[in-house]
Amino acid sequence: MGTKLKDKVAIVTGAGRGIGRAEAIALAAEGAKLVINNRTSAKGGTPSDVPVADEVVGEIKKAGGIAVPNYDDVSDPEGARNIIQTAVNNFGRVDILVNNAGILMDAQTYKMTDEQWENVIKVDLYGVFYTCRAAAAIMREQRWGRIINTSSQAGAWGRFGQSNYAAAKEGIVGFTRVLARELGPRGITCNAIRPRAGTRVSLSPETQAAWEREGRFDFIAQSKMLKAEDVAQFAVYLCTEETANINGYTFLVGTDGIGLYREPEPPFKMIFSRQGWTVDYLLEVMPKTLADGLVNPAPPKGA
Amino acid sequence: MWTIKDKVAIIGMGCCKFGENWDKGADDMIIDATYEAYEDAGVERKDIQAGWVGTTVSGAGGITIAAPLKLDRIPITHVQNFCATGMETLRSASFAIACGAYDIVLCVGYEKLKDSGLAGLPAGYIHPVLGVNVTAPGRWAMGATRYFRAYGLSPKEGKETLAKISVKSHYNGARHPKAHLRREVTLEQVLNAPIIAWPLGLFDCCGNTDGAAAAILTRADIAKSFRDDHVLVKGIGLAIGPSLGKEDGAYDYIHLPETEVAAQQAYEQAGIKNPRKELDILELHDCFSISELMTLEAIGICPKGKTKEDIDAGTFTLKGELPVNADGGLKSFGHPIGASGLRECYEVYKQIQGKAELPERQLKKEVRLGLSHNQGGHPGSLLPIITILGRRD
Repeated sequence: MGTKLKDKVAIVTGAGRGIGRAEAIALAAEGAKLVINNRTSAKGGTPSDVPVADEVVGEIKKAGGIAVPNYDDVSDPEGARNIIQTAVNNFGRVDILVNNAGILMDAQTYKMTDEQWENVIKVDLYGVFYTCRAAAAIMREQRWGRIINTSSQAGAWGRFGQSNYAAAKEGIVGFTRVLARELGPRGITCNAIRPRAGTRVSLSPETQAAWEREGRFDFIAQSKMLKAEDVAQFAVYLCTEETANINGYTFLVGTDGIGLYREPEPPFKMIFSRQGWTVDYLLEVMPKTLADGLVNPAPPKGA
Repeated sequence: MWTIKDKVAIIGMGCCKFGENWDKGADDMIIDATYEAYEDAGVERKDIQAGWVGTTVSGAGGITIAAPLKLDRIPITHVQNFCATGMETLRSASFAIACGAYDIVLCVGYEKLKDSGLAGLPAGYIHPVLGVNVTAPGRWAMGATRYFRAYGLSPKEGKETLAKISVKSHYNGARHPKAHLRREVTLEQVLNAPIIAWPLGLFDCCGNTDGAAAAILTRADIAKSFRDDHVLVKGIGLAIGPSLGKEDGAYDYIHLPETEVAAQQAYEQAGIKNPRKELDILELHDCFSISELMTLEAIGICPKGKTKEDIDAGTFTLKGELPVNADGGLKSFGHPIGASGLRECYEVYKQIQGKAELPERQLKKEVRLGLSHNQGGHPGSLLPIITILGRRD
């Protein structure tokens, strides 16, 4: 057992499987006391039929760690409060919050149902807000905290059929950037990660079959090579005392590489006017300036 | 029609160990290859009347071989024809022999890519418009995707077909002691490898290699005084295209018209009517797996769009009907740019003589006629040289 997070109290949402589970186990292995959250019922998505949180708690205890399960739903404000309260009730405080819970419900936007949109936004984006709100109140008083929110490459890449997921995950990046500035003065850091790991979410049987059809065997091989355990090691690192200067940033995290994202900058090219704009003028000037060299990432196909 | 057939004989060849030769400079490899050729031909340095040297980025001028080999006051020509540079030395020298200017000449092709500051293929001259963003794997990948589409191969089928070519090349290269990449690979490894330019993955691309190869040529009528089993040049074709593929919107990226013409030139000279039946071995320029596939169609071995059937049937394996790249090809033997063309001829030459490196590598069938194909460029802008070598009879 390590001691880098000795006596710290950590919450991981969606810790039943995949990256969340790996993060929980890694945090516990460094001495943190864990709340293992994984909902057992839900209004959508793919909830676990078995209380997988119990399995992870058992695993951590077997390794000599300390953990309690929680079965609440992050997409419910009360549920989120209960998750944070579970930590306080059992361990007296909250030092670390890893927001990992997330679901996918893919559909092309023109035929996406209200339910597909709402469920994904509720779990993936509202869930982060609800838990952060509840945890921040406590961390502020303690004057120390670490929050890690899980974004995705889906939005960054504009992944087809995931507009709901991308909206939530890009929302997390902006949310985290603001939260970092709100909580930084109280010794709390908030960062976002865009993980790369072959889990149930990223390498579902359907995805694997589609990639095989497309001849993208390399994607499957790479996905399998990307381990949730490596993402977890970086999450643990962000929770150490040594990372006080890392606040409000976004990282790409995978087995083969870790990247720091550039923060949004002012536009790199601008055109100026004293008289404002007319459509005719824009039609004339844009092709020579800002629109020059722009390439449509998805140009029209066929007839 | 004038033909080069049976006018020029190869009496000696040499090839150094290809690979990432960190312990060797260009001079070392030139000496290794040339001394092997001297010994094979039974000639000495003083017998060489003229020389041709081919290298694209590892030096310039005839001194590149005159200095290490101590060739003394003879004409030496440095030639460069992109990735077909190696075979260009043989082509140029063959004409010099055929016209009677010299009796014995030396061809050396070499490249020293490691420790040279190059990470990949050197760019050379880049056309300010047509050359922008061009990479070799990128252009061949465009050929591959168009090929799949044109002939109804699903992405999965197409990728697997190409992978089989690379598995075969590695199988062959693993058996040649002088090859660069001497490990077999499985179909799964090839399919799962990182992509360079889809559908071309790491194992669809040739090695980036150091190496040198050499040949000694003489007049066919005096070749017998050197050895009985000399090998004759039967035909040489070279057809450099005007790069129209880049300008012609109708170009489909799946036809290699330059290669078709170069093959026709060589076949006519050699008197070959049915290449599939008459040729016994092929050494093709497989800078990328798709290049081997498309070349098989361009030189008339397979009907257009049907090469997959032959690949699936194992036609081109070591024990198949018509072995292709029996030494591993560029893929596995490696691609020291200036040396590759001569390395291809080296394999055909040895197989015709029945003296393949390691007896177990010798093809089980009779090898009378072999074709070597060395090329620069990519679909739409190609520079192919085809040399047909044959047994003396």
